[in-house]
Formats: sequence, C-alpha cells, structure tokens
Amino acid sequence: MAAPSYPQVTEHIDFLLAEVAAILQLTGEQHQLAVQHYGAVAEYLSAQGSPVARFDPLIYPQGSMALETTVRPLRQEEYDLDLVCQLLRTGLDAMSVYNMVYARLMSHNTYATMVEKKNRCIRINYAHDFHLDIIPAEPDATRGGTAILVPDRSLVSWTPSNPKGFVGWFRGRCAILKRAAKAEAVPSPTPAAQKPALTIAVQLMKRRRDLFFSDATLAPRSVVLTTLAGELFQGTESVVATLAQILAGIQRRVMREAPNRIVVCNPTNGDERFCESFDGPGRYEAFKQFVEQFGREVQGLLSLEGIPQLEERLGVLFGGEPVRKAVKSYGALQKAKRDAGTLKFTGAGLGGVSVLPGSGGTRPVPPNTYFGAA
Amino acid sequence: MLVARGVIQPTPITRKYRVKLAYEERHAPKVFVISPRLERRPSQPELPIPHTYGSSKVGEERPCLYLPESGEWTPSHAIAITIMPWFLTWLVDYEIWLATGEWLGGGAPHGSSDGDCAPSSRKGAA
Repeated sequence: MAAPSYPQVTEHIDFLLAEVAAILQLTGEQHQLAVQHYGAVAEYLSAQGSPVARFDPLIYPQGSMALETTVRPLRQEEYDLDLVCQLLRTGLDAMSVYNMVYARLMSHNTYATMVEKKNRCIRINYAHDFHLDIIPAEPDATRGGTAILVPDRSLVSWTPSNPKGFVGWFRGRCAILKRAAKAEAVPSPTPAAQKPALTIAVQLMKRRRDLFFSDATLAPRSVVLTTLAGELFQGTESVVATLAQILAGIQRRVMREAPNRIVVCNPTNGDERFCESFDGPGRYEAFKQFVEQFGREVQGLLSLEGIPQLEERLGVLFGGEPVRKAVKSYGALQKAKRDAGTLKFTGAGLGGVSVLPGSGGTRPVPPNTYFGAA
Repeated sequence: MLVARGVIQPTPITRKYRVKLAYEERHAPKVFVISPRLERRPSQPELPIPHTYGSSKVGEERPCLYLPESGEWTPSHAIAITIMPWFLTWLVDYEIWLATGEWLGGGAPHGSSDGDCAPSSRKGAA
C-alpha cells in the first residue's frame, strides 16, 4: 500500500537508501562480537566473589542496538552501544549501585584499563569496534512492568527509564505496515535486507543529523528523532515516503505547539523526558532548521534526473562513501541478474529493465558481452 | 537502411535518452545516443567512456553492446529483443560508471578502442 502520490521512482531511490543504511550499520560480525563481550561482562559481574552477584545482574541491549538503528559515527571509529545491566532491587541508593558496578569492573585487570565513568553509564572501550555503555539499573517498583530506575551522576539520584518498553513500542510502530516481501528470487548480491521502512528512516535521520550539525552539541539526540519518527510514521512501505511523512509531521507539531516547544517523552514512561536536550541555547532552533531543511532535501530527491545527479545529491545528504557503495550495488544487482538470466525488459513505452523486482517487463534479456576497451 | 528513433529510459532513476538505431542488411546494427550526449567523467576527462566505439573521439562514442562473431548477435536475431535490451542495460552501467568511476557491467576488451565498427560488420561490408 504505497502512498499513491509517490511515483515509481521512489522504489529505486528506496533501494539506494536501504543500501546506505545497511552500509552504515553495525556489521553482523561486530554485532556478534558485542554480544560476546557483554556476555563476558555479565559473567564477571555475576561471578563468585562479586558484590554484584547477589543482585543477579542481567545485561541486555537497549537503544540503537536493540532497535537495529545503529549508524556508524562520523567523528570516531567506534559505535556507541547501550546496554542495561539490570539488577534485582538492591535497597541501595543510586550512587552506591553505580559505584558497586564500577568498582567490580575496575577490579578486573583488563576492564580496568578500558573503563570510563559517564553520567548514567559505565563505558567500556573496545578500540576500533565500539564502546559498550553499561547502564546499571534496578526495577522501578512504583511504575512496574518493564520500568527501571537508573543512577544519574549529575542528579546524584535515580532517574526513571523504560528502554525495554521503548523497544517494544518501536517494534510495534514498525509493524503497522510491514514492507511487502518481494516474491522474486534475487541473486547475490542481495538488495538490502528487508528492514522495515521506519527503521531505515531512523538510521537516515541520524546520519543526516550527524552530517548536518558541524557543532555536535546542537544536534538532537537519537532517541528524540527515533521517538518522533515512531509517533509520526503512518505506515508506508516506501523509505522516501516515510521520511517525508515524519519530517512533515514534526514540522506540523512544531507549528501547533509554538511558541512552546514540542514535548518528546518515552511513550512507555511519560516521566522519561527525552526533550530536555532542547534546553541548551540554540538547540531547539537548530532542531527546527534541521527538520525543515531535511524535509526539503527529501522532496528534492524525487525530481533529479539520472544516477550521477542522484549519487551526488545523496552523497551530500548521507556521505559520499556509503552512497557510492550503494550506487555500485545497484549496478552489481543488474549484472548479477543479467548473469543469472533473470533480468527482464520491456520495449513498451520508454522501455525498461527489471533491476528491481516488479519492474521492467517480462521478457528475459539475452546474454551479451559488451565489447571495447573497458 | 533502417533507422529508428525514440526515447528510452532504462530505469526510473536514469535519464531519458533520445536514441537512434541504424541497421543496414548484413551489417551490425549501430546504436547512437543523441541526447543527452554521452560524456566522460568530469573529474577524469582523459578517460574514455568504456565499451564504446570511437571512444577516443569525444562526442562520437557509441555503445559496443555485444561481442562480434561470438554468435551473441547474428542477423537472424531480432533487434527488438537483443540490441534494444542491451542498449538499456548499457545505459544503466554507463550512468553508474559516470557516477562512481566503476564499470560494473562486465565486457570484453578489443585491440583498438577506435574501431569504428565491429569486425563482423566489416566482413559483411566487404
């Protein structure tokens, strides 16, 4: 059920956008490595002699790793991966819990050299791959369910959170319309995995944000963009249409709330206000500017002519290197289909070849070898 | 001599091309891109467009779509279901080359990139 106002060109731009997102995300190997590493951390925290052990620590991913919205950072090599280290109720105060987990990690010869204190998490640096940001937490008895309390060092107290609830909510939003599985068998290299359009849109919003803000302190937080995207997504299988929908939706909300700021909370815990990050000077203005410009940029993608123009434009929006790779995978896909004998064409109208499933007619393109100097 | 003209667009993200196809009996069919004209990469103007006849003469290039004398195309093949789809895929590969500098469509080299026509057509003309 693609939005009817979007022409067929979106399907092909969507392919490139999905490729860009896939190129920027944590690789399968890195994901596995992260799981191994946090498994080892959990083991060390629960080992005999660990003061944390009696609270039965359980480590699970939250944020982009759990949402599958990771995006390679612009200014560093390492991805930031957020993990919750959930304990049973400790009966201790927030700082004691934080310090207990920190002290245990510092008692390990290797971790001691990798650990860094942050406001809400304890960061373990794995050079060249990622940081594991480990957030100590315990159940929030008052709010119940998946709600947790997290020590906040600047508040010197607990702060409410509900990352599990948030992940469940976001997955539910993604599923309001699953991208239709394309029936045609596609040879390797396969197009980007059939991720939900909403997930890809969030990755691209984060990437555009990283490139848009030369001053990273003005940039909206990922969780703000993710929440707004989830709230404003109305269900379409097109990534371009999803982005357009979200960005227009944010602008409508901004106008409706003016002169106040929009409020962005964890949809599963209203006390967890994500929009506090708008508080800094100039930040809300910068956010509005970003959304407005990106909205125009997305619309502009529909009126470009030719792959070189599209490559140049997408390169400005999301970075030259991932976009070049994405364009090459479009070419590699056509070649793979030609080699497999599955590329179809039509001579009707302007003609066309079926680089993507569902377009380009019914007749197979016979085998050929371009001649002449390469 | 048969000449066909028309506008083609290989996929929705490529340009629309005004093209010409010329076919003389017992000669190889020739395809021409009329507009927008084929161009070299602006960042590497010294590099000829891959897989073209007349590749050393800027503005006179035309796509080499198949390996002559390989049987991929013979006069018994209908142009509409061979030359035309190859022209479409070639244009996609050309645009990707223009954008990225990489030719992903494969192909075979020949001795001189300046050959004006494929060996099979020369034979036919003799």
